Parts: sequence; structure tokens; C-alpha cells
Amino acid sequence: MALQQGDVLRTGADGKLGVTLKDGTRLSLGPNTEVALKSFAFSPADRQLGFVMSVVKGVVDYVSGRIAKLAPDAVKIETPTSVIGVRGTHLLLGAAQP
Amino acid sequence: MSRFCRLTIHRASRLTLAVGLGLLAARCHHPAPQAPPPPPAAADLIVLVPDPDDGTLGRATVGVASGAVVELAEARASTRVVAGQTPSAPTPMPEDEIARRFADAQAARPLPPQQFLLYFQSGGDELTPESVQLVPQIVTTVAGRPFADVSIIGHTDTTGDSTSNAALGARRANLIRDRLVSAGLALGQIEVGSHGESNLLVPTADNVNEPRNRRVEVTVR
Repeated sequence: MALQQGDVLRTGADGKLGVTLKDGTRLSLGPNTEVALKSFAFSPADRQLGFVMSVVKGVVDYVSGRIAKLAPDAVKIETPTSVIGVRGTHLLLGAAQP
Repeated sequence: MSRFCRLTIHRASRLTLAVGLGLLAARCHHPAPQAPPPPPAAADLIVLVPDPDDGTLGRATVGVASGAVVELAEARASTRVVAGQTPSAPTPMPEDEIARRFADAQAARPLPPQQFLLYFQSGGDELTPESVQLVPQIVTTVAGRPFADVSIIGHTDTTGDSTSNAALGARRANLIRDRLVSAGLALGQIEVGSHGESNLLVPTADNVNEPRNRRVEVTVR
């Protein structure tokens, strides 16, 4: 299944989901989680590199890929209250957690 | 008004009554029935953890609208962010709390992408003997993954200009694709591309002959 920039990933109460993006970025979602892939560009030959995702709710395991190595400033993760800059590689993220 | 605060007033003028009620309200403000403490405000959590594959630790910055920024740089360093507040100072999140909060997401993490580097003998389209041996390994790796997806990206060194290097990378990537397809890979799983000289394995200046940069990277996800 192919994901496109602008897609939203959602899991239900007993759902889990893992995806690997083209640059090797890995996202996995716990239950009741929603993540928006706001932008994704991985085309180093024409310097098109960027990754912006938003954790809207729930919990996410994030492992960065090549984009974060080649253009760390082009990687951004948003939560409802914050913006995260990533210098590698592994983050656990929760949105609106008790 | 609670039943403990009933008041009887005899012959009071309107004015006294009003004042009396004001005092009454002040006196009887408590004790209210014991309510449970309010739950902590919902917060966003950001935890920096070691890389799941090689154990290295990265870094992350967490910024909010006010401009406040917190940096995470230690293993399990975490910050809580409540709307309208400064992110909390980094504190290590205990392992058991990490497990309680994140075990499901961690369990769903895909296997790391596996990468194979293939090299050509100098000046031609023939693979080195070592690279020839990788071809069946790639096919086995693909067979071992659910929903496998393969990308074949050609790379060059910085000799020559970037346009012709982009074309050279593409030509070599196509050669590898043909080999993998004849070894049994389905075409639908394969994406072919070229990064030319823009994604060097060994960083060099421009116009440097570097054999390790002249490669085709096959990534199985």
C-alpha cells in the first residue's frame, strides 16, 4: 500500500500500525492514534528533502531515516502543543496524554 | 447553599439582610464535599530513546509557540508539554513508564530497512564478484518480509558534472533491476531511481574519484 503526502494514519481502540517510508523513516502507532503526514519529499538528486508529520492524538514510535541525515533541519514533528526538531534517531511521542 | 448554612432572620431590614447574606456566603464557602483531586492536565510527551538497532543516541529540540525550547540529549530524557506552558525540564522517564505508555507502538515498529551495496568493476557494466553474490541474498530477504518493497538507487562519485552523474546512476540502477527481476523479484515491488552525486557514502569534494561512492544501493523495506 502506498502512502501519499497529506495522508492521515489512524488506529482504532485495539489497533496498531507500522509503516516504513521511502527514506527508511519508521512510524508505528499504538491504539487510538492519529498521525497526519503533512509533507514528505525524498529526492536528494534535486535537493528535495523534507518530512513534516503531526501527531494529532495517541502514541507513536518514530525512527528517523535518510532525510534526517541529509537535511536535519527539514524534519519536523508537531504535536498539538509543540514542534520537535530531530537530530536522530529514535523518539517516543504522545499527544494529549494523561 | 448547603443545608448547614440555613439562616433565619427576624425583623431584619432589607439592608441588613443583604449584608447578612454576604457574610453567610463567605462563612459557608467550605467545607465543600471532598472532591477527588483534578486529573493532571493532558500533556504531550516527547521521549528521546536510543536507536533500536545500533543503540546510538540522537538529540531533539522541543519548542512551543512562546519561543521556549527544551533540548533532549540523554537516554530516556523526556519532556511534558501542556498547552500554553513552557515544556517541562528534561527528566529521564523510567523504563516501566515507557513500557506502560508506549509498548503497543514499539511492538508495531517495522523491521529496519535492510540495505545492500553493489559495486561495478571499474569502467564497465559488470558487477564485482562480491556484488554478484548479494543478488540471491536480496531475493531471500524480500521473500522473508510481509509487504516487502524494494528501492534500487544508483549513486556516483563526484567526477564529472551532476547531470551526467544522475544519468549514470540511473543506468546502473536499471542494470541491477534487470538482474533482480531475472533472479525472481516481481517488478511491482521495485522502485528504481538515481541520486547521482548528491548522496555520497563517503563525503568528498567535487571531482574526486572515489570507488566507494560509485554504488547501487538496494533497500528492502
